[in-house]
Amino acid sequence: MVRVNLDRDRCYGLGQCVLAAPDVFDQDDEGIAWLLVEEPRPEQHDEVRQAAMACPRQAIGVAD
Amino acid sequence: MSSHPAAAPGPETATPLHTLAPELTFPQFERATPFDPPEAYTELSGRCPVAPVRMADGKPSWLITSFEGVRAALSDPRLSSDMSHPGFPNRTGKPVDDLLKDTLGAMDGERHRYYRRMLTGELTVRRAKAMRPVITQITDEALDQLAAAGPGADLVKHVALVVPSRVACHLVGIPLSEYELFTGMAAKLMEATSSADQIAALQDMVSYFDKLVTDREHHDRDDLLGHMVRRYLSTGELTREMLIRLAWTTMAAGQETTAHMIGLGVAALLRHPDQLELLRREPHLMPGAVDELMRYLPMIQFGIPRVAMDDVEVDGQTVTAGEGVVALPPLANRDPAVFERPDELDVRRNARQHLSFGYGPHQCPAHALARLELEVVYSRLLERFPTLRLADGDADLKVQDEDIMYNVSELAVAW
Ligand code: HEM
Ligand code: HEM
Ligand code: SF4
Repeated sequence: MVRVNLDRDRCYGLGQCVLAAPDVFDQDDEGIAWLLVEEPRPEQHDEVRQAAMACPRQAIGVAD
Repeated sequence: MSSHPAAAPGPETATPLHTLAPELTFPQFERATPFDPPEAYTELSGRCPVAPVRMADGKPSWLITSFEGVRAALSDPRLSSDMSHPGFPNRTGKPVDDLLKDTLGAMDGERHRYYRRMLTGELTVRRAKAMRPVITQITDEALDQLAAAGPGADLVKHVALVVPSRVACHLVGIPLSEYELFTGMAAKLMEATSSADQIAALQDMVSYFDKLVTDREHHDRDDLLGHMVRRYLSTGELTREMLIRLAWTTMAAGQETTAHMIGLGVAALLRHPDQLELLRREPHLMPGAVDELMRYLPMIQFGIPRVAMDDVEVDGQTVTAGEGVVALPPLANRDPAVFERPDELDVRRNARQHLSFGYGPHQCPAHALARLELEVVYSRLLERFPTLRLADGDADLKVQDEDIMYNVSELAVAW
């Protein structure tokens, strides 16, 4: 099982995560990311890892 | 590990920049082809991903050309965007433009974050997607103008310079009926040669925005100015002065960047017929092609400058407090450690990690909007003109290699 963890204090609202995994991340009115699901489905795992890699603030953690 | 072979007997050794004799001045202009970065950088980068170069004011800076080096530099909070700092790389040899002082691009840390948040909410992926119909309409109108002008028409004039500024007007809340008025003011501001002219032009711009803000204080409007007035001006989180500054700098940062990416991108596709053919046959490749074109084209040709507030190690090189660095995305985007066959334009590759939007806290907040604009413009153009070609055939492209953004100033097309 994969758990995603998002550090909203680090997030700068760049939206890279939303581009990579639109069903897992969204952004609030100030652009700060929030998680739509904490435990993504297996077919979303790749996207989530891409989002974590793409985040310029290293705000996203993925734990197996 | 030191990647500078001549530099370091031990890992702790810092080589102060002022003791080095840079072999290269920055910037360089000599290119083998219009789509490649100057060869002198490529050659230097092969030997040394963080190398000393001499800037226009005679001072040295570190030039960072590796992918990891650029990412590390641009996401390190100890490397500052304070362009008034004496160590900040000075490309032109002239003092910092007063206009740019205390704009988002020049702020650091908490102050930057405070204002930046207010802007990013206006530029989320969701917001960008919601603008697709408007972008499509603006694009189609521009293509009508191109068609009306007939074969031989200039794509830069009719399309590239039109679409991004109209989209930015829509985003911010400048009525399309006042579009010409606004671009006139912007041109005056950019072209001002004396500081008196510049102050006068800025005054005009600020009073124009002031009227728009007053309007939003009395009417709800669904645009960037309307949202900012309601959410931040009315609560005192933003002063009127800062709100206006955020608005006009967003306009300034969003126009030529995207415009030049349209002109240069179309030129590159027309000069790579196999890639163009592929996109015509498989239009779903377009979003990926946008990123690949952004990776491949050396747009941010003079790089992204920073100054070190503390000693920082970047890709094996110690940058000492007070020294300047210039991160160079066009080279990092061709780092063979990250991109295979980096000098080839290949619209099928996954190029999303390119660094043409920068990286870290200042990374372009409008990347989703800019990507969408490019996708819509390239796609509609190819659909509407299936036989599009360069009117001048193999003649040299009119590239401008002294502008901040590398660009083609004119692109005559036929169909
Ligand atoms: C293809 C088009 C574009 C490119 C290549 C581009 C590139 C960049 C880059 C490299 C930066 C970072 C500068 C730095 O680190 O100091 C930046 C910042 C910025 N861009 Fe863009 N941009 C584009 C389109 C846009 C658009 C359409 C807008 C607005 C509608 C925009 C607004 C901004 C703003 C406000 C900043 C300053 C952000 C900050 O300092 O926090 N850009 N852009
Ligand atoms: C907050 C961010 C930004 C602000 C406030 C800003 C503001 C300005 C201003 C005031 C000028 C006119 C300056 C002059 O002519 O002396 C200008 C010109 C220009 N800027 Fe920006 N800018 C920003 C970001 C960017 C970025 C990120 C890029 C590209 C990566 C860019 C590309 C350009 C270009 C191409 C010009 C025209 C320069 C020329 O005529 O050669 N700007 N900008
Ligand atoms: S990519 Fe990172 S910084 Fe950007 S919105 Fe997502 S979490 Fe925030």
